[in-house]
Amino acid sequence: MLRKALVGIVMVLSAAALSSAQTPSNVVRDESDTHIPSAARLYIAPIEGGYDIYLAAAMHKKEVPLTLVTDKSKADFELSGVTESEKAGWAKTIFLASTATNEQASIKIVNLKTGTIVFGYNVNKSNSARGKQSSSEACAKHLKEKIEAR
Amino acid sequence: MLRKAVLVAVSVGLMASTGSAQSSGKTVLKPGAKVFINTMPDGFETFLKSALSKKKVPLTIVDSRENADLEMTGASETQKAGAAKKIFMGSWQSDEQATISIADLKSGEIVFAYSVNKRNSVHGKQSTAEACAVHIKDELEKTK
Repeated sequence: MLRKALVGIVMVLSAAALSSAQTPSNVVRDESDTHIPSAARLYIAPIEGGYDIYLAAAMHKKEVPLTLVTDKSKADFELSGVTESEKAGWAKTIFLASTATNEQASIKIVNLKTGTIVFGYNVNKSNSARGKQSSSEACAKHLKEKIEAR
Repeated sequence: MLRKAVLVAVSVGLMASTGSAQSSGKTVLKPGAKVFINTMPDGFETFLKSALSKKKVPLTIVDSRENADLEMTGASETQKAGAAKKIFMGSWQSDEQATISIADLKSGEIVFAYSVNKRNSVHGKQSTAEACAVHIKDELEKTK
């Protein structure tokens, strides 16, 4: 009787250990985890050089179906990012007759309830026709595609 | 009598649900609203105030955030012409970029945002500020 009970306990413990070991690799994320619903409230965190405002303008122009808010506590999602501009040097101005900047930017959007990163995008534009405006509009366009993809 | 009461209750319920659906719509920029223009790098807010006045944008600019319905924030950047541009391209004009956003202070929603990039800007920051003002005016005319 005691032996049977011991065997039972060992089996239960090993099953529990196995299941806990398998959990991280076997987790199949629900698609709703990375979904950005239309009309969700998005807060854009301040980004160096006022790039957050360029992003707001780009989302307005590209008609991204999100409501932008200025208060993080009222938001469902938070956008954060980094950006870098490289101005044309004298050699580029003389030999390529171009004063256009090179732009790169990267953004990510986090679901504030679950903490999941639901969207990320990088853009690099050489000879950007309209500087930061071009890179921010690329971000907005791809975000719109992501929202409308479902 | 009972049937009439039920009908009235149902119609009142329907009207209430329609009203709540309409009130949840996006906040829009409205003519005559009081706007506070926050400080911006390089004093771009001063250029914006002048541009809003010049382009006769139907908004009232106030000095205090407490008295405002809307708040305008923005950023601007100027790239002056270097020696190479002056000598080889024969241009002394600067490249300008600016961006603004207008938020409703009650709802916290961004109701309008715009960015502009001008190469060889004829009047420097004045040109970008006036472009912002023209587009705000266009937006206000849409909502009339």
